[in-house]
Amino acid sequence: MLVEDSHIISDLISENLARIPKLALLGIAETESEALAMLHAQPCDVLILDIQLRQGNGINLLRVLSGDPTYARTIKIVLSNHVSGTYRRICEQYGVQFFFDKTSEFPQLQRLLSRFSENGID
Amino acid sequence: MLNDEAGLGSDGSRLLRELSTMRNDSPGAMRHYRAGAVACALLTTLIALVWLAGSHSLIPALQGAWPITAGVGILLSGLGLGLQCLSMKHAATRTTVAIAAAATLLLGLLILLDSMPALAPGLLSGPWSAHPLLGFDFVFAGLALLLYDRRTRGGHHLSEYLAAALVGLNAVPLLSALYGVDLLRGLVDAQTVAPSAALAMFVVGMGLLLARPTHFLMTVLTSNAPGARMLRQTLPQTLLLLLALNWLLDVGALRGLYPKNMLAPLQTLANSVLLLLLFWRAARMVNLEYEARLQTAADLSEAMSLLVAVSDNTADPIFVKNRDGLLVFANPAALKMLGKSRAQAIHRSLKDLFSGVGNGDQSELEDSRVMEEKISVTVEHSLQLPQGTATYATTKSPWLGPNGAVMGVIAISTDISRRKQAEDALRARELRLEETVSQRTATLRRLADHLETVREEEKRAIARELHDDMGASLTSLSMHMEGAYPLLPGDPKWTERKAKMQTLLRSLVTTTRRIQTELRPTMLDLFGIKAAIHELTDDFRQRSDIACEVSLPDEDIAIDHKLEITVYRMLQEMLNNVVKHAHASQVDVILDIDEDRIALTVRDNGIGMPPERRDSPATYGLRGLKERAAFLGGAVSVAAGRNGGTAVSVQLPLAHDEKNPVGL
Repeated sequence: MLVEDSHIISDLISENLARIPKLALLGIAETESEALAMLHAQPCDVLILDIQLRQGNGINLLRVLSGDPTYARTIKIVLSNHVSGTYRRICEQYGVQFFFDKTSEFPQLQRLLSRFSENGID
Repeated sequence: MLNDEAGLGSDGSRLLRELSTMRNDSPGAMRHYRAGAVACALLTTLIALVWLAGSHSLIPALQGAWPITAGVGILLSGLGLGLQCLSMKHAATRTTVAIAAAATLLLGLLILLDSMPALAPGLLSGPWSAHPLLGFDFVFAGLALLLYDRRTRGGHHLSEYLAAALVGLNAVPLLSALYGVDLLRGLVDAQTVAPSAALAMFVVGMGLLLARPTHFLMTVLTSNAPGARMLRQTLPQTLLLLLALNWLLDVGALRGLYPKNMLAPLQTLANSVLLLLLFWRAARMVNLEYEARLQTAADLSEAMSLLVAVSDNTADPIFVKNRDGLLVFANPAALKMLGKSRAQAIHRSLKDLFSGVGNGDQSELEDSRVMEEKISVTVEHSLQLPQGTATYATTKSPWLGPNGAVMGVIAISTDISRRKQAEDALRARELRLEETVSQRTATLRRLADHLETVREEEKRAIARELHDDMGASLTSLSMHMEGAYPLLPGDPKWTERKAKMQTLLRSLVTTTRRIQTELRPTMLDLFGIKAAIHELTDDFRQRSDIACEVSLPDEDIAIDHKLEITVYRMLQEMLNNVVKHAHASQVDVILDIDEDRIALTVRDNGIGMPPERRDSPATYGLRGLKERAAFLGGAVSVAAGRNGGTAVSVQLPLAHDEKNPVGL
């Protein structure tokens, strides 16, 4: 599942992810509450989220999820423009496994997801 | 005395002084009289001692029959007089005088009893028996000494009359001696009074009079009044002249220069001439005194008319109050102020005259202070007068009598109502001005706060725009490019271009992110003030190479968003100041929060801030901090930090209700 408030970017991401086999994009949420609702409705294996959102923010979402054991197994990936050490540290605190710079590290995310698709999540 | 300086007239106080001295007896002259009395006492005592020593025959003046009683009496009288001249403070002296006086009196009574054979035959005999005149002498002298300072109800001293009688009594044997006849022989047979004894008692009488120059009879002679002076100047010489003239006439008759029956007309003629001269002289002196008095009165009236002219024509009210606070003088201006006539005002207290004035007690206190300390004071007071409220500045001075005693208070008032009104108006205007200034300041502060809020909102909007639009486009562009790079041809030209494109894009993205963060600290919105401060100080360390120590409270800080951004911006400003001015190598940032306030302190180890810069309006950064803090109900303090640096501390209340938001 993808949480991203910019259409241009979410379109681009979904277009690129579509090329990876065995990977299905369950949905795109644009706000924190929307993302929570979707996650409640349909759990996912991988959650890609941005930090800054139109409403709420990614960190808050992560905080909520970290308190709920249902989402303990979900792989959480942050793809954001906020890349300072402080953000990384906080994100790791809330159980984020991977952290990518939106601008320069998208290919790395693609490679990670391709690896998941070949080797399975575990 | 008055003639010398009369004619100047204008100096009223000098005249008053002179007039007052006329009444006073000068202490110098009094000393002379007392010295005379002492001399009399010494002379008498000496005569008595010489006689008692048995050597009277050596001195011709002492020749003659002196009974023993006479010698003892004269000695006692002389001693008594001498002691009376001394200070009578000691009880021993008083007792001694009383004993001497009583002994003298007793002796006199014994002699008198002895002279009346019918009553006490042969009481005193031989050398003890004395002439009854001496008996009277001793009775008078003893009584005079006993009653010396005692006054009758009418203020007279009996001793003075006794002493005068003593003098008169002894003049008889002295005159007898002079004329060579014995006037006293007729009274007591075969007895006479030695001229030396008579002289001694005469001197005692004189001494008794002189020793108390302030007693009633003597003041006629000793005072400074013209009559006394006339008496002093004419009496002795007239008496001497009378005596000498009559004696010479008598001697002439005895020598047979003219027949005896010529003596009486000649004496009448001589005495008449003498009397004429005496009266002529006295009249002249009285006339001179009268003229001098007239001159003084004229001078005084001139001085008075001047004073009256001054006090009548001044617009300042002048009052004179006596010791009881009653009005004894008020000039026309004062009467006008009171709205009363002179008759209505005089001899009434000012308290009664200014009915309904609250400061009467205060005024009485001032009066008594002026009188007690003999100083002048100036006081301001407002009065409710028939013609309206008036403010006066009153100078109160003690009114000193001729002898320096305080007789009352002189008050001179000046109407300062207009000045007071002007002062009041000025003060009111100043007050209004201050009010206006504080209102304007408040308005400006609200305006500044409003501008700050608007600015923050605009920044936030621009940051949003940057993030949503430009940022997203850039990001997606980058992502597209990342996908496109592998498709570029592999030759070195394209490899180089690819590197340039990557650098350009990265730089664009970095710049956009920086601007965005500067406009709106995302960290603050996302993680709150603590994280934002951490981010800010991390960034500060990187930019400035200044070590930065951050101390934050352990618990989460939940404060109003507006306060959060204010604290954040203040910290930014303070850190900027450190970079720009402090030349520091170490900065401590301390955030402290309790129930009702938040405190932010930035302490550096730099060169410090001169005190004049702390309050200078030209230091906009600091000024801005202060204004902002003041608007939020807080305060900024600037102090010297440890190691010579500066410590700037901001305190803000957590709950500050802005009662007057700016209405634009």
